[in-house]
Amino acid sequence: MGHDEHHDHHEPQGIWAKYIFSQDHKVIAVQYTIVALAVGGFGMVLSWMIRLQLGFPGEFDFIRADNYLQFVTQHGMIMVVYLLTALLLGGFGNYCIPLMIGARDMAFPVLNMLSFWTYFVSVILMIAAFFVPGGASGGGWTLNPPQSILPGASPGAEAGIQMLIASLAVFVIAGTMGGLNYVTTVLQLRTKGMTLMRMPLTVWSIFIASILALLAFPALFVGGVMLFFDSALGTSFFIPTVFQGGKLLAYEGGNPILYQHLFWYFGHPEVYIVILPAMGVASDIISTNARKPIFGYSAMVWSMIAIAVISFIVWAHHMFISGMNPFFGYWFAIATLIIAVPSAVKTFNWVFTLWEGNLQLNTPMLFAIGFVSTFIIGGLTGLFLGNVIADVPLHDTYFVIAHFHLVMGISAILGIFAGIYYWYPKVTGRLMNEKMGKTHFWATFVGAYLIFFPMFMVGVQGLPRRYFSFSGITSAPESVGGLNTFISVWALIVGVAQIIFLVNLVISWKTGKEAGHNPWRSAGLEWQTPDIVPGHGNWGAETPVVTRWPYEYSTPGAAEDFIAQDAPAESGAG
Amino acid sequence: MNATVAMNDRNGQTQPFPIPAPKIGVWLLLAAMTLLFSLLLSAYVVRMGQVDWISINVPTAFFGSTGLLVAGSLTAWLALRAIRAGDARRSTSWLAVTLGLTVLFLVAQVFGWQQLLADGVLLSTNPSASFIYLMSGLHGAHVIGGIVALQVVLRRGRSGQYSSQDHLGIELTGLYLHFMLGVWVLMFILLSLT
Amino acid sequence: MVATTLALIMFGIGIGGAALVISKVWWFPELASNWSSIDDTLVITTIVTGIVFVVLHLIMGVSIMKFSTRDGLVAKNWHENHKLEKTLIIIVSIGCVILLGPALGIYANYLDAPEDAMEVDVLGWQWAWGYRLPGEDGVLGRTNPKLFSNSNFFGVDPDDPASHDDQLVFGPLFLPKDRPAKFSMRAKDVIHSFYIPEFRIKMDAVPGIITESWATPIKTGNFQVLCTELCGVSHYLMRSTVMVVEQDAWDGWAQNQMTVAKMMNLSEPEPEPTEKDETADESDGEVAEATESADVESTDSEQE
Repeated sequence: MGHDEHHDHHEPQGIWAKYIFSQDHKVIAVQYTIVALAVGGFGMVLSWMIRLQLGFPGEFDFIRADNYLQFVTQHGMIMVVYLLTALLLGGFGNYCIPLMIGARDMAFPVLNMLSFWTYFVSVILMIAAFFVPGGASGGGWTLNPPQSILPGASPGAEAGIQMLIASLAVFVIAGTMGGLNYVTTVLQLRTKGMTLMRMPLTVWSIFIASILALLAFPALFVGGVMLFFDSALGTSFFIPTVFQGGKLLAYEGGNPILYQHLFWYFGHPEVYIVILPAMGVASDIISTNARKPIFGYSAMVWSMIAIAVISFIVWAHHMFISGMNPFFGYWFAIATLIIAVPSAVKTFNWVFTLWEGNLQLNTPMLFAIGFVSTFIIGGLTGLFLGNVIADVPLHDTYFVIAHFHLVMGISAILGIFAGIYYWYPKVTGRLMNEKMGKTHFWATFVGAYLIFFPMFMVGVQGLPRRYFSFSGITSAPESVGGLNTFISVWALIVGVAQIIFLVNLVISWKTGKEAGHNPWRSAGLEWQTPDIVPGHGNWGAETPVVTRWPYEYSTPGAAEDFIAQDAPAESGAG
Repeated sequence: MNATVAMNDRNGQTQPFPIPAPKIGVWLLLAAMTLLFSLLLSAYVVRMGQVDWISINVPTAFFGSTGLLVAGSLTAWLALRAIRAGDARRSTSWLAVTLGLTVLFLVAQVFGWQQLLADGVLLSTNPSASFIYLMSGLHGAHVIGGIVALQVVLRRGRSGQYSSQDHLGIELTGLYLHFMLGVWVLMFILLSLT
Repeated sequence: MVATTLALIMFGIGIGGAALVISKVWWFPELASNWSSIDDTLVITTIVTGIVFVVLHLIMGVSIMKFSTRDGLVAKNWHENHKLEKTLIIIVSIGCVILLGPALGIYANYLDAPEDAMEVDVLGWQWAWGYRLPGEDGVLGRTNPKLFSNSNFFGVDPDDPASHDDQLVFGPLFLPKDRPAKFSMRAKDVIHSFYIPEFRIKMDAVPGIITESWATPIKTGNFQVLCTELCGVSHYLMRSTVMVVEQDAWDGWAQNQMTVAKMMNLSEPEPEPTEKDETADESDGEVAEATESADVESTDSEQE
């Protein structure tokens, strides 16, 4: 479709074509990243509202039981969909894939541009939902009916949720356009010598996550459309006979559990859509900065493929106590624990890559190591929740909150930070400030543990999630209030620490240290472009010829401790 | 839509996969749509299995529309066969017929909805009614996408952009229409089951 | 400097985390039901995952100490060890089987309530819990969501004779100690979830279907019921109390509960209107009112 534009590589003219409606994958990547980070900042402020209420109950009058639920809901939706998914696929996917596989651009540049602008529209719709009558939805990020769409339950049960569903539908379209592009590009536009098993793990992970996105988002779309019909047009797909507000409502015959199946059929692969790219980015950064080839490359690839396949048959482990046929519990518990095996393989491989390396503890490396740590604790606590009977007392408590924040929230965002610090010099030609970067890391990483480890403790005491106030709960000791205050204080500190990152991001653009061609002395193809900051078309007259895998570090007998992917074959073992 | 461009853009290097990029893109799109419609149909089958299911007679117009979609799929194939044989003019004519048939299909679907309404079957009457409207509506929305593609291909065909060697647009648009036919036939069978 | 700090943090995370868990400063509330097997599963899982957590963090800490860059340090180039990988995969698989095997057995037990269990119909609505006991005949009458009304609060089918002696409880639910109680759950409006932390049981109450869970209380005392499925603005106030008492005390309490027949005027002419009207008011209150009435109800129920 966009091949005519793709073909002639002359520089587009004018600020509109160059920076706004650009078809250059690098510009689109930056656009995605900036919008996603802005939206994520908003999502983080919403999380402060939640923590202010829980840490200092009653101190802040403007937080009420109704808008508290809106904060909870929108925080979850924004972070999972509009920040993590958009940034990892739209941002990193766009930036890294063509440069890492030696392509000049994406397979469909016009579609790529449309993908970003469609995403942008979905963000506008999501924000607009705050201003419709009744405000944004407060039905929880899973939007479970009947509660999410019955007026008189949560706020935003009419216009708010309809707007949000519209936004999600638009997002699904944007994601599909992007996904088609990433997958096709990886299959079609690899340069000479770039076999599948020579691709960096970042590319592999985004490739697999994009396939997951293509196959999982339709479930969100179908569920969303049906929910929209129930809400706006009075159908009864998900709403059975219900008695509310002193009367029987007009709904009849719907099945609320059907919605949960559709939602989690999307929702579980979604977890891997955001964590796989973070895994890929961390793998590449760890290998580069350990000056050591990634341990078990093919095991890494195959475990990602295994995770992706199994991720489609574990969705109902979110529904052990939902009222679905309880006998499904056996199957979903077994499948869930099976998925622990490839996840463990990946974790061991990161740890082995560190062992006997020559660790360069720069900011990207710190974040990548932080990622491994939070993925370990998040993944291990998943063994409680996936193991059906152990899930029963913990389900919907703060244990779950701590678990998924660590495994897919914190881990993914640490991966994102690692990637931004790592590829920033590629985008701008300048390094981000190391001192500020390290401060940012200490605060974020240590803070994450100080927030979420206590949250496990809150959870085991049985405190349920989505509670506006815990006062009067007799099963938990008084000290749980102190824990909550502790968590909130750290949440605020970590939040403020993100300002350091923001400042660093902005000021380094013009004043950062000049990076040179290959600041991390990486073997990866993306650092071998003719220009430090690659121009339109990325490569010179010829795309590079790849002779080896991207992890050629500390090869015995080599002149340097890395051999670039496109170095001529005779200069080292392929 | 020009596949040869992608082939040549790589300094004469061999393609990793001997399939043009747009074709892969369309196949991926169809994979995503397969998921979309199979989830919708699964939801329908699950709901059908519940004891309180009331089935509704499929409107007679849907039989006609099914015929139109079959015919459209057939003429799309004839258009492809014609361009493969190098007969661009005949191919363009078949494309025009396909476009007409596909538009008529949508008209017939709307007519079917009117029949339902005339029978007092509203969207929210009961779950089976809601499903008929939702399934045919979502399918129809995707057929509109096919109509847009057909118009583009037809315009390109008229300006002589296709040849016996280079006709990926016609092929992929046809593929999309065949897929839409397959989805509809499956839906139609399920809707007719009582 | 960076290396030492990071290594110390890794050790701190591993050892500190373990210490915090082992010290049990914060742990599950004291068990008050038969589900000690669930607690055992949680403990086994904590030990297995805890060991992996600590070991991995110690290894990472040591790697960072030993292998952070310095003059003359060269990374070793090894990157495959199929034997090691296979061994680890086998160990992980064994770990998963250890976690899964017993747990699935306990789950089977959880799905299979004892024959002699006392049935309790648990009804959730925005934002309170109500209970229905089977009465003298020991059988709960049929219900139908279409029969919910302000006079038929539980949606029971009056045509089913078994329903007439069913007893309706709006205050705290009394349960006899050491007798299994099977909770069948229904919801009137949206999805709720019935959770008693000390019993370790939790199950969603879903409108339109009946879900089940069971437990045998083994300690007398008052235990709080929490709603754990977001059900609207006052979700956090949707609480109730289960009071576990000795069998004879329970018998005395059970005799005085209002029957369906009485409440719905099925046989006797004089129902007690107060309680009925009060609940009817609650159900159609505005959000703010309902919040208050949920408050009022919980305090009421404590006093009863």
